[in-house]
Amino acid sequence: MLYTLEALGTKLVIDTLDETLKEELVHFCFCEVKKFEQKFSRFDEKSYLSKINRNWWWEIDDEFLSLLELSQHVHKNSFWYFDITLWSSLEKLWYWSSKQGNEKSSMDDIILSLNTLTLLNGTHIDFWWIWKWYIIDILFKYLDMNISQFIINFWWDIRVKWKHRLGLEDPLDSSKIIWEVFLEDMAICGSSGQKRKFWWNHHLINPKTRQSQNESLAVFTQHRLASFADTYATAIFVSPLETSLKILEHTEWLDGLIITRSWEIYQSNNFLCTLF
Amino acid sequence: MSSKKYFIILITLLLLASCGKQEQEEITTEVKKEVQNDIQQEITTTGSTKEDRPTPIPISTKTKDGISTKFVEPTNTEFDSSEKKEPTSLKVNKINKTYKTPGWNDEVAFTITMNGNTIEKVVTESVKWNDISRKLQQSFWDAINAQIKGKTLEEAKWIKAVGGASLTTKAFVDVLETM
Repeated sequence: MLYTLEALGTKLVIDTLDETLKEELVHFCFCEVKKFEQKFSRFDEKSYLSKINRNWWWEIDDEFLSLLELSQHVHKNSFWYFDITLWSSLEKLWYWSSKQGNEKSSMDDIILSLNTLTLLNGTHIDFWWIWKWYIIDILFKYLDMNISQFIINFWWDIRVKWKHRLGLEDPLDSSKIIWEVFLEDMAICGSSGQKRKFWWNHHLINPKTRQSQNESLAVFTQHRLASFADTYATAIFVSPLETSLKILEHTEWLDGLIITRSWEIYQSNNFLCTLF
Repeated sequence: MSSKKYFIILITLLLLASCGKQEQEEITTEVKKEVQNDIQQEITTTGSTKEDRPTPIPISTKTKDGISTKFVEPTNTEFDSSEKKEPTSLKVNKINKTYKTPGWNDEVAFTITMNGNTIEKVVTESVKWNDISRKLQQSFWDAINAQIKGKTLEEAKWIKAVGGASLTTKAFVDVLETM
């Protein structure tokens, strides 16, 4: 059974063979996704995120705090390449917006003291991706309480319950599957600038150059949690290759596959896949 | 049915609905807490570094001419430590080149992979550009590999206006001169 929801300009799919899944639960999951979209949307001026970005000081809730702590953790572990303060560069490069913002803002401009968030130097934070990864973990819990096997696929970001065989697509031709991966109760997430791009511009920005990173074609990561796998997939993608390899080398419980633009393939020890 | 009975039924339904809603909210809060705890737990464990973890190595090197050709050379890449291949022996040079266009200084980075004394592939990356030059740099990249793959540096110097991009081609030839 396949259940689909259009969200965040992409598609969320819940796929299961377990016939005990009730439609009410799927409806509930989809409602939760919509609630999150309203909360974290960068395009809706009434969203919680927009309110925080308009004010330099804010008392944040536990959910927001948790995602901020995750961002700061991956920022540190990715040798400062994972960055959620690239709002103005993204506006300029991707949305072609004339909105003014601080193009020199960095993660150092985010000050967190207990639940109080202070944004210095006109910094705006962009959470549209992180909540997407986090909601996969939330939906996983809801479904896990009710059914025994399923796949949650939120556009390249996947978490599965039980054993599944998945195909990884050719980053240059989405009609072809080039690898097959075997997953059991794991998340696999992909990052690629090939999906939505204009010339060399896409949404994955190297914080040091403030330009779209184009050294890799695609990065896939595996971790128990989708929020971790995906945050690291982005961090690895936007880093230069040497740094990407260091991140994979040094981060416990994280495995990955990197395909460079010159079509060299790097694979960490426990990332098990076979050519399709 | 009297209005009193209607009123009692209505209140009962409202109470049941609010109980259901309350229960749903409790589950939502509980689930969110669990996921937040999972994240906290992972922050403390995933962050730890492991010194003996090996650096990922290239397990295979495939060739794609430019960005549009077919995937070739399928080989078994099932991971087995005994099958680890050594990093590729291809030599890769990355050189940035600035060149002048009307009213603008553009910069492009060429990554040239040499296989012995012949060119294996070229990747171009815009560093400084305007809309026109970027389009031309893209056209250059789309066409260059078909023209120079397998050629020596000396042979490759004779290319002209690849993909219609004469200035990018000249910048590329200048880079070949320095190699």
